[in-house]
Amino acid sequence: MPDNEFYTPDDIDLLRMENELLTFEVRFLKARLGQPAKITGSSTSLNRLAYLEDAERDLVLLLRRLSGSPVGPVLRRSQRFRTLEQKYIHSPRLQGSSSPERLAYLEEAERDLILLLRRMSSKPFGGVLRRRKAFRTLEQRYL
Amino acid sequence: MTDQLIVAGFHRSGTSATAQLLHRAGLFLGYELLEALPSNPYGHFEDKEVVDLHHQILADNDLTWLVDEPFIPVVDERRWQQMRQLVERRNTEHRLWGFKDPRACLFLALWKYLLPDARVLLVYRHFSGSTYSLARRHSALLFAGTISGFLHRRFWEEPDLALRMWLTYNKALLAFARAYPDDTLAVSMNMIRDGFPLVWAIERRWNLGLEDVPVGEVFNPAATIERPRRQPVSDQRLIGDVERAWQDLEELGARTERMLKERTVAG
Repeated sequence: MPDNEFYTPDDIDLLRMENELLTFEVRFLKARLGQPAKITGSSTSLNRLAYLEDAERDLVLLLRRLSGSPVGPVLRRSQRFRTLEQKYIHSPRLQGSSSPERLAYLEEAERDLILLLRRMSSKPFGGVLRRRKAFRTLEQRYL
Repeated sequence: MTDQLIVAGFHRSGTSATAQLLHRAGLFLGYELLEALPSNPYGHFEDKEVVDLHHQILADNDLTWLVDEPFIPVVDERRWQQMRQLVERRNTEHRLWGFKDPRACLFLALWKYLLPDARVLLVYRHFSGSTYSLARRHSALLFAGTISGFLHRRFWEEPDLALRMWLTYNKALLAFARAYPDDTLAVSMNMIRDGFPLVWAIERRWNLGLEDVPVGEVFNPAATIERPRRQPVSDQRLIGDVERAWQDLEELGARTERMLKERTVAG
């Protein structure tokens, strides 16, 4: 067999870029297959983790938006809303994606997001909020 | 008397959302704005005429928008004429106008020459988020089989391309901000996302006659996703430069917040 039948993958940059592109390709193909964003079950697969992290990110964004809006001071009269602000905006987030604590924290964030969205979707404000595309996207994704 | 406001920032740094906000506040941004794409569902708010002009100047210099090292554009008389005509038309038709295009970062000195009183809103984002978002967008375009596949593929053929681009664009912004501190206002994407009263701040600074509108829902959550891991870098010599540029940008952002506080107290 001639020598050139073999090669040693020693270009770490090339491998790193190829790996990154493959990760994006997997993401792209999953999206094309129409895989639902919500993954059921208690598995802590990478998919489930990614979904939970998205949920936490959306919750933080939503809370920041609400806090900074004109209705922020009104919402802040509610103990529940203050707790959410304290928990997800003011407190440092738990790091370490594989730890059970992190997973529990993310699952709680998902539950809080769903509860918050349900409350926002209901009357009398649901109809008004639904005019916004970002809100409809959140509803579609989590409710 | 006319006023001009240019929105400049690296790709995927929140410039579209910022331009959308200013558009709502009454800033004329062009007659033919680029349409929305999946990567920018609310639209780019980029004036086709300005974008075409920037593309042409880049092409005249044998470049695309993937500029990853400092360069001084050579502009021939034909392009100067096009730029002058655009300026004259807009000045005649609008008391307040502007444009947004990330490529403008590379041509701010040219525009400042033609528009000596123009103000620049500098929008910046952390290199990690910008480069990751750029990679997401171009991987999707690559796999979707859109044209210019060779261009999208370059991000995975040339190590650190996106990071070098981030550095080049933002260093150009920093150079402009140092040269024209009174005509520059810097904000980060995070500041705007977190509710920084941008239009109000612009009015306090320059009194352009924009209507105050809430930041509202201009941010697409998908566009503000951060890189899930640390920033990969192949050429470690870049690290110092990138970190310095980031610190300098953050200092400009902090200056904006200080200015706002001082004027609020004084006002």
